[in-house]
Amino acid sequence: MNLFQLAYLITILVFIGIPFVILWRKNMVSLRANRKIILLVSLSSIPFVAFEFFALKWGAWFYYSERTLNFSFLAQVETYILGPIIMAFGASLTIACTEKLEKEGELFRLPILKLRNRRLPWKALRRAFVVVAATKR
Amino acid sequence: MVIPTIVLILLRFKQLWPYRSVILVTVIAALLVGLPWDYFAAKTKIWGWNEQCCSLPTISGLPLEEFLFITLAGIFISALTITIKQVLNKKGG
Repeated sequence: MNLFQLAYLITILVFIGIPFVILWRKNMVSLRANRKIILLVSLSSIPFVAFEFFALKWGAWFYYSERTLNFSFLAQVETYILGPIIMAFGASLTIACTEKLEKEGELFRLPILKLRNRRLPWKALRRAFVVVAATKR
Repeated sequence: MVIPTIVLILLRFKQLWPYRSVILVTVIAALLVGLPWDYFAAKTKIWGWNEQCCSLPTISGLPLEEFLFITLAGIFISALTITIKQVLNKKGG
């Protein structure tokens, strides 16, 4: 086995592992309280991972043997690691966002959304329009 | 990916609608993480697609089916998490 065969595993750790760790560090309290939900969602990935068996059989995609561990049981062994990590990351992000939504009532704080709820200053606008119209004449 | 996502959304549409912004954020995060990773993996020859596999055109070497898959995966994971959370909270009382 050479280092190149760890490429798939390394990309999983870099592209999913790093955001996952950052997310957990920022929302440790709420995610810890909901770890049961995250675990259930992660475990539900296992039937979907087995789906890869059919995808590989049908030739939907393929793996280069130089870049994977070349050990498979229905699916590549890296996919059995990838599936739960992706589900855990998605579940963690969802829980962090739902907690924020339930706590603060909104996820995004866009200024334009706040303007919609404010009454526009019609008198000032009308005055400005009159002034502009008068100067143009 | 299509069938489980559609089934879940149809069954729990009313309960999921208030959390549509959460689902949107998850989909955006999935695309931001998934697309560069997919592109990198395809370029470094970790995985690839057969020429006959995909009916939709490609963007930067990635089949459009990949964009669809990542979007649906984001929706599914988010919807499933919210559903499990609601079911467990209901059971807990």
